Amino acid sequence: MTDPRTASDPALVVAIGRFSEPALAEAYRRHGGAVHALASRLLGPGTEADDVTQEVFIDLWRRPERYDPARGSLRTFLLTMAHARAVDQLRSETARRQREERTARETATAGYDIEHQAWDLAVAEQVRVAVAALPEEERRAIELAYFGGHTYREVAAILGQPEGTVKSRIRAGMRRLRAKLERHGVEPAWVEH
Amino acid sequence: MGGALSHAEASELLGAYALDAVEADEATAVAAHLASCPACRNEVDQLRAVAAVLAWEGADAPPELWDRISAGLGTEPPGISPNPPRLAPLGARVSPAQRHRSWVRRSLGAIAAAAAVAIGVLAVQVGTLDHRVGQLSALAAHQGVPAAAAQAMADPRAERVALTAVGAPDRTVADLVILPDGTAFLVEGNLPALPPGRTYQLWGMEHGQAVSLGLLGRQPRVVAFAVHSPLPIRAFAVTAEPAGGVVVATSPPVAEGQVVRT
Repeated sequence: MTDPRTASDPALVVAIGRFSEPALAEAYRRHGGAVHALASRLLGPGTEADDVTQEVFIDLWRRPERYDPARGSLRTFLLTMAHARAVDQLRSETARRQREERTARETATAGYDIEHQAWDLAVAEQVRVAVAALPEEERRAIELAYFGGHTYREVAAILGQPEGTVKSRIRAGMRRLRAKLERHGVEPAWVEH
Repeated sequence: MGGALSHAEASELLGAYALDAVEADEATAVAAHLASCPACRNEVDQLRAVAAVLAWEGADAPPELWDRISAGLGTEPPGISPNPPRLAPLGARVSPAQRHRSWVRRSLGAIAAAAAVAIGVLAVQVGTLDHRVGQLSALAAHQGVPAAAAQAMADPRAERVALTAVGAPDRTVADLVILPDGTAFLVEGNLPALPPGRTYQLWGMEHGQAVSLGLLGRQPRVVAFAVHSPLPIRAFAVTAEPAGGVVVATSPPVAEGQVVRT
């Protein structure tokens, strides 16, 4: 690899496989902000979010072969890893109490607002429109699940709706988003460098 | 929830699963379904891509956090890890019609002793780095490994090695396909499944030393690995080991084979 800054994401991962630290630094430069922002969204700003971000990139360093370009972009892979780790953290017993306190605080101030999460992106407008066009109950269910780190059963309890209904709404809403974004020419490939 | 999910049951959970919004037992059940259902796997991949877009924030990566990450790399350099990286087990099987029946099959007694010989850490490093790089190169080509394996099997330049069961030289338990650039695949794996906590490990005899070529998993079907090019390895062996793999084989080979020039 000549210059990490001009390398494609898959080429970066190959270089990481050859233990190139500049390649990992470049992957962090491209995607570290998004990973850290998602972890902070779930865990609150601070040590926990920093730890998740660090773990995600060290894991990429140690096991780059787990990234399969055929299954999606590097950013999706890293965000998927970060989300899973953050949710594990949230659901651990020790973290549960702190989270309940924080949830109470957040509820007191402002609700979740996914529309403000997808911004500063070439396709931000399409994403905003697609999210805004979702039926309200689908949007709420997705927000609580993805940014709140709740299981669909917890979401059902929060919203006072049947579990099966919430389960269906999450999937229907996500599929609706996907279709809408695709209609606007927004494909998962946009997150590729 | 107990037992396997039907396709319909798993489908209903895919949205929540893609958002990590299912219970642990449900996640396990969905993952089991995904292993055998490409359509559902594809949907999960797509929904995760959508979730990633929702998560997108334009914030820059915090520079001070990079210092922590960089420092964390030094504590355990991957190059001297005693365990070879796990190779991805691959689901697809190659059609028997593509199989070359004429491969020479020969038992190789000498490797039984050789695989048990202590091997140098350097040899492990070389083997580890080598197949890691090989596998990643395949990934970068945006090519699924089963497809790549099928292509390699059809490549006339490929060297082929039949691995036969130790003690039953007529029974082929897997074939190795090795391309001139060192890209290699184990295909048509038909070894008996190992219990949880165990893995098959592939060894190559290189300059008189047994070099680990990687872990094959509990029940290998198609696995990618890599060897030096041009091929200095003339003989291969498979042992059954604890799940993390070992530096030195702890048991005699269960299968073996050697490169035969035609």
